[in-house]
Amino acid sequence: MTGKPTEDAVPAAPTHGSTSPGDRWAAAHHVSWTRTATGTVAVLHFAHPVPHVLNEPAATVWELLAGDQDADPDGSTRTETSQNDEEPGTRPRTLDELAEGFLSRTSFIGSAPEADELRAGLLHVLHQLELTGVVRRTADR
Amino acid sequence: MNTPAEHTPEPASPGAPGTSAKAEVDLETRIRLSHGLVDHTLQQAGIRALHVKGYAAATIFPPERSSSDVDVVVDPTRTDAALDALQNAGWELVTGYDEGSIFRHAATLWHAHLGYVDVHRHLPGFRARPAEVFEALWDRRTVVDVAHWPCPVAAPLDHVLIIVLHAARNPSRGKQDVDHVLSGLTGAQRATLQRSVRDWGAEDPWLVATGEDLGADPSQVRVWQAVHDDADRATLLSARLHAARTPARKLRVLAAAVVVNRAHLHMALGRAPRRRDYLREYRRRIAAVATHVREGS
Repeated sequence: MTGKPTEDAVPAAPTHGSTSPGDRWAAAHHVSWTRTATGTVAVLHFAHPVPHVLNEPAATVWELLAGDQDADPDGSTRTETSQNDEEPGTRPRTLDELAEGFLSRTSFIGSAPEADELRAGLLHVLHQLELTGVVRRTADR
Repeated sequence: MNTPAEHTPEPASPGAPGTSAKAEVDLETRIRLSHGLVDHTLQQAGIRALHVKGYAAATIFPPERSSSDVDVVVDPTRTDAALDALQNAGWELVTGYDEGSIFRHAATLWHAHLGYVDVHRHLPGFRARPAEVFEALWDRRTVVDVAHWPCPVAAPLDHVLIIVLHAARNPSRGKQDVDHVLSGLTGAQRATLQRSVRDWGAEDPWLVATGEDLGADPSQVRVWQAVHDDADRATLLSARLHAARTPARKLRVLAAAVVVNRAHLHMALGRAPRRRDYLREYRRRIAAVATHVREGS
């Protein structure tokens, strides 16, 4: 078929291949995420498709999820002030405590049954991350 | 698209920290997230799909342009399977492929938490076979991240063509879309587009959208112009009957004009139609046919 664009004629196409911790996490765990208009992070786990809004700065989210203290999904440097700073003894230690702490700072649409599904989905993802050693690093710090 | 009342997500307000509170998720966020879930769902079912327009065309549209739904073009040999896969994943069928428009090109589904997706079985405007067009688009596809999920999209120039043809039937944003996507193209890129228009038989909507005549059929252009102008029912019917080449096709157009589209009526009313709603709609449709006959066009 004629009309096939030559490489010279085609405008530069965007390429996929971001390797930020957020992207790696999303691709591995069937999750999509985006920043909302107010700057919070909205996450959708495909197995439990109720979008939830994480009322935390993105840097804190990725510290919790990706175990990388300096990581921001967009690759920018975290600010010095972390909203995840907690007093000794109150920081989540177990995986479930980590999940509960995470969930306690989120808001999401849906009624109680959907919240349960969301919690189950999030725990599933966090368990997967534990298997890769990512969450364990966070919990042990 | 007009959102039926019962398909409007329930707004909610954030709760206190530590509670399982409801929160508003704005439309743009929900639509961006939807792209990934739609793609994942169709991939899992082994169905090829290209994301078109909206946030999938972020590198082509102006950055401030918003979108109210997800649009995908699926493998024409898997159109029913695509609907099955999405319905199994929580979407609800609102209108089937034959109900959405006079082009009978797309089905609309609704997800209670995410919003609308339009599943196209073909792209209106191409006289070439849908399978031929899809395979060419698929062969040249690229990938765009939407909400950090890689979504297959048409190659940039192909996507420009898709947007221009869509503009031919979009009375609200058509002209500004065309002006934007065509501006900045080089002469060589414009020539490539024109070749695609001729190769795929898209001269009619191309003329309506751009004003450039590459060999359009005047009778078909009249239909496209009526759609573009959001013409009244009688005008559109006249154009469609004039463009129908055989008596059988003319009969099909007349029949479609009289038979009430239940899904559309449901959406327009925001509730299930009642008997008097159907009667009123039948009267309006028959009046349109009578106008056409009376004016002898």
